[in-house]
Amino acid sequence: MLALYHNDMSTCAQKVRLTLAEKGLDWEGIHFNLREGPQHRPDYLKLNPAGVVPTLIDDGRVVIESTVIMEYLDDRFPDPPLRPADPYGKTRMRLWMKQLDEGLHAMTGVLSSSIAFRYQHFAIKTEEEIRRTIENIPDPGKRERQRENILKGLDSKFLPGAVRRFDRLIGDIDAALQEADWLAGDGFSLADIAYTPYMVRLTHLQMTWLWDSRPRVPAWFERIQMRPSFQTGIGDWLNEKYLPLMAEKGAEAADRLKTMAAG
Amino acid sequence: MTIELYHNGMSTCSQKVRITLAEKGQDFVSHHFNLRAGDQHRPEYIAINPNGVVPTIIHDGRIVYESAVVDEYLDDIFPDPPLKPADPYGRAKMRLWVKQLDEGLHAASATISACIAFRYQFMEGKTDEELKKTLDGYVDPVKRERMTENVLEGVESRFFRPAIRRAVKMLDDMQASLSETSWMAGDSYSLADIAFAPYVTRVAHLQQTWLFDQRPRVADWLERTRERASYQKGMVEWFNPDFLSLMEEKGGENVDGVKAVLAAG
Repeated sequence: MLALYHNDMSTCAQKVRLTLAEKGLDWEGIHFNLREGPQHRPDYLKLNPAGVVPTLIDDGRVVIESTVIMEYLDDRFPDPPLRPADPYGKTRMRLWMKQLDEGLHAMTGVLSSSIAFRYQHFAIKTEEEIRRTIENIPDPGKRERQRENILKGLDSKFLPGAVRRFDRLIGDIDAALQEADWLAGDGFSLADIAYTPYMVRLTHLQMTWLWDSRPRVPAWFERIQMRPSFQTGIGDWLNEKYLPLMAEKGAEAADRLKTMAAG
Repeated sequence: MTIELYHNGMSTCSQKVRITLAEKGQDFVSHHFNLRAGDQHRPEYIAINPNGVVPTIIHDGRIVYESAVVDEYLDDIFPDPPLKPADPYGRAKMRLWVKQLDEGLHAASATISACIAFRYQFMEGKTDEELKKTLDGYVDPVKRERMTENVLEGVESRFFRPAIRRAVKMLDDMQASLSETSWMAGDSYSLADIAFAPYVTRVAHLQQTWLFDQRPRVADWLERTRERASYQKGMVEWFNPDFLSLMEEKGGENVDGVKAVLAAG
């Protein structure tokens, strides 16, 4: 039996749910409300020392980190395969996935927090309480990012770099799709799955202008959304509390974000 | 089918790939880069590897870069002897180790090396303007900022303390894991052991072996790693004696300084 500790809107949880759906696997979910902090409880930290979702439990074996879980699922349940058959195709797939771990994922947090999620904090806390929560974040890098993103919003010093990085990413995706139907070649792979949650997030944040002049990107995203896995892995879990906030604040921010991308 | 390898003798990522090639019994055509002279930033190399880093391999006309990706590729192409655990869970453990290097540990090692020793190579014989030009050559802006401060400030760099603490956590995690199994991802030697050999070696080269005193499993693992023929071929034969003597001298001078930074919490 597979069990998954996850969250509805977490991009990393979305990746794993998509993979489980593509494999046609049943799983039991333990859903965390991340704003309440169950991911920092001692019993969960024993499973996942970084205190993040998702965590997969397979017959008592604990597997963490979404990219590792995805390859694990493909090793453990090889049919249908979600990695290219040839070694060179696998290298292309892994180069895509690695970029997420090396900074793109963190930059998604910058976009989401500074454009929209910061308002969730202000809705329930005073600025003084927010400051105190931020100063309690143990990791100094994350503390500084959150201080900028939550308190300064669109003036966060991390935002322009994140916007430019995503602009480059969409350009890279467009270039890859010029050569093949999917990111790692002619077959749908874990690389396509891994980027789907970020495409969804950019869409929710009203940043679809990033692919206005790159038509291969929306065509690829359209094909992904037509797969049944998209509905069960992402669609069924969309949190209605988040979507209007992202739509409203994303629309308000659009002009400034476009200027940042051009800078 | 020949393998061409663009690499550098002391680069940790090049070391990983050379050890893997040696474990697989594969020879390669060497294109050795002098990183201090900026060979890796030349336009013809950027055309092959847009990140401007070593290593890159060209095999059968195909370009593969990023050491973690190259190592898995070599194990896919040359499956014998296998360097991945046979079972999916063992592979997950292996990949969890390797991934940590990409997520900050490699950068931490570069910072530690630069702050303690390599900064002297950057500065030697250069005018301020020449030094600035070299540092401005880094393609990645984050890396450029980090290297600039590390070279100019040494162990006083604001990047040094988190880097050395991250390295200590690596040794703690290894000690815990090696208390359960003989190698990092289980009871067989794997790409995880290969990937970490250069970083633990670097700790030793920088004279911080006192960190092994309380972590005997790590010391024992390093000993067993060093006994493998691949370590000789992939690491030792490419050691640059000038680098080793600089690391020995400056590392020795900095032992108390490193201890003080760690003691300050």
